[in-house]
Amino acid sequence: MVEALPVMMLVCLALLLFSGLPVAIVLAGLGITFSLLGVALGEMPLLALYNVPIKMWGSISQGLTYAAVVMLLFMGVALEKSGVARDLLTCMQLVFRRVPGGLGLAVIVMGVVLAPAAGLVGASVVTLALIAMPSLLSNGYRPEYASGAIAAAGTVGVILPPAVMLFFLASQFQLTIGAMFLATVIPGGLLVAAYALYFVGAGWLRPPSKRAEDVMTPSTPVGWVQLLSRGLVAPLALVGLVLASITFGWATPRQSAAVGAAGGLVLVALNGRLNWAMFVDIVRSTALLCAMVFFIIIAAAVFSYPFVYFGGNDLITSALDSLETGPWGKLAVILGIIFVLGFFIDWIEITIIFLPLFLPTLSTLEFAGHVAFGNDATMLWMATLVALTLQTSFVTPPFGFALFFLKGASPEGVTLPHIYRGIIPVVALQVVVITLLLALPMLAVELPARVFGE
Amino acid sequence: MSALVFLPLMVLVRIWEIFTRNALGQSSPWYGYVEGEALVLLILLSLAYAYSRDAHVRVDIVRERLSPRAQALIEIFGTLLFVLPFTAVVVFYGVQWVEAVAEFGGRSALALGQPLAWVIRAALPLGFALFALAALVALVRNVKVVLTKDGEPAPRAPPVNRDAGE
Repeated sequence: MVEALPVMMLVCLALLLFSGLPVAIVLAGLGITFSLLGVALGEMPLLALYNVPIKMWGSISQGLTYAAVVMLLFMGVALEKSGVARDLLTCMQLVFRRVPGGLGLAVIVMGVVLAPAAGLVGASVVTLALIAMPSLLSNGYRPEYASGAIAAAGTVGVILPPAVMLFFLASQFQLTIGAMFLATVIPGGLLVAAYALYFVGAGWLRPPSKRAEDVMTPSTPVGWVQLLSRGLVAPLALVGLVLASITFGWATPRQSAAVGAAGGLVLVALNGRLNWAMFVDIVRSTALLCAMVFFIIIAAAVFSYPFVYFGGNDLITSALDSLETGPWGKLAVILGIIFVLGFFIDWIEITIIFLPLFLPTLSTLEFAGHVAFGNDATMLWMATLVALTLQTSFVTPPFGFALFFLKGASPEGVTLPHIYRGIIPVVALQVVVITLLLALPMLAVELPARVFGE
Repeated sequence: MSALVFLPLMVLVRIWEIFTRNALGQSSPWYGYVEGEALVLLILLSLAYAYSRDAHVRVDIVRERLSPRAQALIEIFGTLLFVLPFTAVVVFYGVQWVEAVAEFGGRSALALGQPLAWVIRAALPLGFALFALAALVALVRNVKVVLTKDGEPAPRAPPVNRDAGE
């Protein structure tokens, strides 16, 4: 009986998500319902419920980087509300104005610049959506195109250094962080190049319904310098500072993010838009976004508590071991499971709770003939595959949760069907790059091997 | 709405965060601790406010095709089956946990420089008690929507709790 409970939990989750109730409430409600069911069946002591608030507390207080997430959100909201980010986008738009789909390309570039700083998928997508979605729509881009570009740009950051996820993956796979960073450079770069080609091509085939607004184009050279320094140089310097201080270890991610948040406020002030009402507005919007993002993390802890308690984890491990499909089959099954898990939960729970369940199996897989440089390289290759798989899963309809964050942060006119249609080509590009990586492990392994030796 | 009480509180928390931020030059573990606790307070005390503003993410692919009345019915079931039991468990056991931390962990926590650990942990049951309140307010509204004949929206009661689009 107890073996059936974790399976029932997953089935109920998949069904009830579509009720339209808030996702976090479905997760937490199912967690409590199944805990009580377990108590009623005598499978779980009533006292175990005492652990629920403790798990919830742990889920938000033990994340070392969560404070950084909040402050980067604050930075994003400050830049967005004050119009600084719009200036940035306008500048990129001017830079790319001769290119078809230039604004889409600008969004991808922004994603690459802004997203690694955020680390958390939800946060990156929300920030980009707040900044770029209104501009894309007002320039006549279709909602499908706009949401595809934002979802792609917002999630690719999670696999590009210095994404926080890579720290967690590296520690699980027992790899050095430097090797992990370098391993994702080529696959991640391929992905960005593929996005750029696609969004330029799509913009060329189906141009936006309006001509790009030229309102902001300055007439004098001094105007250009002013616009570029205010709109491009200052925000890029700020984001660059945050990135550089994390990458080169000048400060912890939390401290760097704090500098980013304070710097964002300074930029608002420099633009002469800082006043009390603006400050309250920024704080309130940040608080709403935080509540939205972190309620899901809290609720996932409530859901996973009975799931793990009823042996959902052991079920997975023993099922994997009983597979008789050889290394390729097992790798495919594990990546498939990670892909499905990525629909529901952020990489934090996956890398911390679920990945350890798969590692015993993964580390015994033999790919000596396929991956050069031996065992460590195989692990590096698999870690990179996991990273790419997770990122793909975040944007795959109908569940990919980056899409819900995108919906949450978009204006009224953008519906989930728009987002689903916009994201399908992006998912196809993801699949192409993952297939390439599966076939050619060198893509991940070569660069670290060159730099660090074998 | 009860939730509006949070705003000044959050502003205070945020100013506190900025203050710690500016003091980064003379960083000590204490700042990280305050930052972490401020973060948790901010999150927990914003949850109910976000619920009252309908800011939590939904999978609305099916929902947006339903009548206001059907939406309200689903919302009522969700509140009765999920929100209220969940918040009840969290508040009931959360209070016990906070009591235990206050009593048992008091002295050792003092040694670690965290004398008020239980006060901050009290935000967990408090936050979810307020969440339950916000859910009850939404419940009353939704019951009104259902009771209004033929699914006409009740006067001054917007369908469900969608009064904000931020």
